[in-house]
Amino acid sequence: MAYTAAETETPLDPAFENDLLAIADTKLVLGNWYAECVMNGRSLPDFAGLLGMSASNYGHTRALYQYLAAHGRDYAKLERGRSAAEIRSMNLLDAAPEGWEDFLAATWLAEQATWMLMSSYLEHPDRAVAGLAKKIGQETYFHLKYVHGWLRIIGQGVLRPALENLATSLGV
Amino acid sequence: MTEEHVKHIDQERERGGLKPKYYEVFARKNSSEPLAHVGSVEAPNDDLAQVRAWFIYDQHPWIEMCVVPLDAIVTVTEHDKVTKIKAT
Repeated sequence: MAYTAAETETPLDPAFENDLLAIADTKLVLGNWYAECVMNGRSLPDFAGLLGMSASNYGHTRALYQYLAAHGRDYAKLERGRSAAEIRSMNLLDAAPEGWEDFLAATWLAEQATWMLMSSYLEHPDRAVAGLAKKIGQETYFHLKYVHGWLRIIGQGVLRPALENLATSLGV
Repeated sequence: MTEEHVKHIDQERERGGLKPKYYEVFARKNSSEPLAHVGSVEAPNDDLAQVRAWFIYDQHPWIEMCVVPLDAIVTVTEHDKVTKIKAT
């Protein structure tokens, strides 16, 4: 399909802008989660994986903030000028994980949810947005595979309590 | 360090067995090059081996990367030996 580049400086549709900001902010907090939990990894290669996922989520956040800045938002305010209450990340990530299984279940849900939202823009008429969605999808593939690898190990009965705790905290 | 802050690792489940499980990593930069050995990773299963290889050997934008369980590699020859017949 033929993509078109949106004119910069033009304001975005508020609903679209809200979606991108929610994805970017969730990925910011998700990047913080991975960075904070590096030392909870099970081995040195695990540390490298967690650091890689932290860096790529920060990269997604930065790219989305830059896109929003190109359409009239203040980049400095997006990155450093907002209070915690103004960060539009998933509520799921507001409380620290209670253990390794809880960490895996929560990060899987957050990765899956942000990708569900972002993948709806894979065919966006603005090629910058479509390209961002494609790149985020390529990298999220490995983030989800990381959790799948761990679910194969801890899914033998150990994960259930973590999922039940998660369901309780979500009120479902 | 209190007991609740101690990291417990189940060697058998979380590292692939009582001995670490290794995968060899092969990659190539473009389709005109053959796959070449770039290193190895320790991982308890194929999924984690793929992810760890992807993040550790990220020095190039590889066009293709594969991991092979070390256990799957059958030695044909070794240094100072012309042929090795390996017992099955």
